[in-house]
Amino acid sequence: MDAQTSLEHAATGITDERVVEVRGLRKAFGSNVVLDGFDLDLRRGENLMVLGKSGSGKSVLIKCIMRLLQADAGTIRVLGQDVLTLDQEALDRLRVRIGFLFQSSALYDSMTVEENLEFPLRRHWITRDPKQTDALVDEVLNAVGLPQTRRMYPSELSGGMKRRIGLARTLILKPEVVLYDEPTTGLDPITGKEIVELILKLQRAYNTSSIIISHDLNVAKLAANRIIVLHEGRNHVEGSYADLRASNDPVVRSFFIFM
Amino acid sequence: MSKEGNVAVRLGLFVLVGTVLLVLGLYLLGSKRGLFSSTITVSAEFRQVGGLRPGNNVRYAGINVGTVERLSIMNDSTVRVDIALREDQAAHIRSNAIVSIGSDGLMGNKLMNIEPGDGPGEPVTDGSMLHTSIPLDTDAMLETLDRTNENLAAITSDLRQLAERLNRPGSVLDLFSDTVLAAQLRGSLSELNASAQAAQSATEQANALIADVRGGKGALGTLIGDPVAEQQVKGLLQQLQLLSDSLSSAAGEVERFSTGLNDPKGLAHALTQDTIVASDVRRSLANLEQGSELLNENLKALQRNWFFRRYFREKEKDLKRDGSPKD
Amino acid sequence: MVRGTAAKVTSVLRDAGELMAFAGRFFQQAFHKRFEWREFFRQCYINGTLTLPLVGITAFIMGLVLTVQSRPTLERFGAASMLPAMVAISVVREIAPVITAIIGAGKIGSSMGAELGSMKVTEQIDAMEVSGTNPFRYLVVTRVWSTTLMIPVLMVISDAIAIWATWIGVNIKDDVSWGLFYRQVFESLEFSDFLPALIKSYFFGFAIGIVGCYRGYGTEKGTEGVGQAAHSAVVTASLLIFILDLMAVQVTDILGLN
Repeated sequence: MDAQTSLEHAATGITDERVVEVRGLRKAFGSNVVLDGFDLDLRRGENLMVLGKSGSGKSVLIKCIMRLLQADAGTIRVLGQDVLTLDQEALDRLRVRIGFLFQSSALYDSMTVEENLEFPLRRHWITRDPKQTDALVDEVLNAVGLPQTRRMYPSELSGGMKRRIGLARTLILKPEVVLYDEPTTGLDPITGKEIVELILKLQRAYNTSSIIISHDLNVAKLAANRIIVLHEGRNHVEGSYADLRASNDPVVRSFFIFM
Repeated sequence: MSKEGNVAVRLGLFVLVGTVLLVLGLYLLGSKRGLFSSTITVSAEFRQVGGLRPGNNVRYAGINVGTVERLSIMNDSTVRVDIALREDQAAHIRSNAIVSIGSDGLMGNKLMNIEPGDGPGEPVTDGSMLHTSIPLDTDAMLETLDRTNENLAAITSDLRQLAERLNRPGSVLDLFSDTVLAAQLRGSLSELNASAQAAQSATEQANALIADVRGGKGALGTLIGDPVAEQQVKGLLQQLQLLSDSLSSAAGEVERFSTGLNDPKGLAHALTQDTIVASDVRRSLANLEQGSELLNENLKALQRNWFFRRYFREKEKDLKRDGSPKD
Repeated sequence: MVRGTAAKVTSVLRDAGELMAFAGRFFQQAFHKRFEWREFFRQCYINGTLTLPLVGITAFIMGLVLTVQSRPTLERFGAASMLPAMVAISVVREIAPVITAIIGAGKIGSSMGAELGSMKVTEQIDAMEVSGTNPFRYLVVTRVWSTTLMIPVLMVISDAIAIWATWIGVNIKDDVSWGLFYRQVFESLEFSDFLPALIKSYFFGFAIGIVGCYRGYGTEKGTEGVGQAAHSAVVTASLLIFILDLMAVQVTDILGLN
């Protein structure tokens, strides 16, 4: 890391503290090896993007970090803890500090927006005091700009609104690290841009570090401090959006085909 | 929160209704086993109970008053039936009541009937022993036929003796100057002889039938299922009927003759000094009357028996059509 | 052809084995001290109260139809007076438990398969996992317990409804008072008619819950898989109910309760 980027980072609040450290991660489904020795470092305050084609194992990567999937080999350290060896209780405590925005928003269909937002609070025993939960729900709903949806069911919301509520549910726990799984997939470009801007705004407001998984270069352009291209289960190229734009690597070029 | 409260109320109501129904159902199932009221136990002894089982109903005047509680074999010829009587009904049942075993319709379960006995009596108490009557079933019917046979056999032998004695050469009949009367008496005697023979063959047939039924074919199987047997029974009954008729007509004629014998002014009386013959005739006559009476009685008993009923009904119809009733 | 059959047999056996393993997992978690009471009561409401109208209507129709159809046969034997007893015994022994379970399999099984299936493919189950909730305990344990306990309640109520419908059916041609009718019914019924039916209905409820959850929880291949999960939940649960019914009749026979 040269002096200039270090300065840049200081300006954006990026420190050298590594909040996520992945080494030699390997994950296979039967004979299909998805990740084969992948490395990743996320610094506090940084927006790291993992760029890859569909089915390249990007989602598998962050699900391994969250231990929604069990990695076959390698080490994963999040906020100084070894994710792969934690017991259930410690894992739950760690998961409070990690937010996860699901690709399909994953709002609970049977619950209202309010109940969706309260769910993680109640389940993690953060608070069950009605006043406190009310205040927190208000806060995140205002933050994502949808206070009027409080009593609505997910089926009454548009895709973009769902994504925002999903974001609100992620942020209500005030996580230190947020993992975004394809935040703009399935949304029109305008809504996608709005979501990315919202992510950036909230990141500053909540002071989070992020790993963004996407194949959307608009996200890369708008949000990423640093981009890792994931190809065939390994780190292929790493750099800023400008670096990739200038790259002659055929894999990298293939992402710019429509740009 | 009100919506959630609503849900809780409806769920509670649902479970409550289910539980109440369950408890109610279990209570009703339990109550018919005597939880309605307390019971007393009375007993009766039978030679056999014809398939009665614990739990069968016990009726008094057609009302269920209890159930069969227990069956126990006391010895080789006695079965003891313990009856659980509902206490509130037991007051109406006297200790001289008669218990019999019957069945609830053609296909129905066995049940016990309690009928009031003759005269007054104390109400039954716990542990009372009730009198029994022999069940009227196949066995009862066979008994009736058996008795008929015995009677017929007795009548037959009596008739034979009488006829032989009267027909012996040099017997009292030869002394008769009134040839008309003698001829008449002779005719009656030959009729009696024929009747006796008919009675004998009827007896044989009846015996064969009884053997069949007792041999395990079962009354229903033999009499209803098998057309040949049914024919046999019909024939037998017809014969018995004819026999009864002819016996009574023969008896009538002999009676007329005997009136003559007894009348001191009568010709026959004068002619027959042979007192032995006279008493013989009188005795035969008495037997004859008794026999014909018994036979009629037995036939009536048979008529009452349910599976002969149809046959007799048909016969009645035939008679009405012919317009010649036999009596 | 042979290979196709062999593959089918293998897949059915694998399916059965996985269902067993799933049931085993249920029993591991079923008595965990952190029981999701709220979700359990919600599921009881859905699988019990909200299923009642459907089950009730079916029970009513079955009671009525069975009565009307049995009458001519019984009349031929001059045993029309045995109608209440006969229908009541059929209802209590077989009709109510099996109809309740089959209707339950149709309604509850399919909705469970579809609900859990769509939760699986839209990552709601993962979302629960990261929200400090054991999704198996939250979703599966509560649902299986609720069907296991609610199907018997439904059965008891449909017993009552079907018997009431029988009374109506008897009264189409006869004039029998309710008092006489229910006395006739309970005169003919024994504990041994009712208890095996009650016990087997718990098993039916368990089968509906475990199969619905197994199919839903194991959903793959996106939206298409959701429909498949709902469909196969109904088919498998219905089949399992009849197999259990067959086993129940054997067991009651062996125990001498028939």
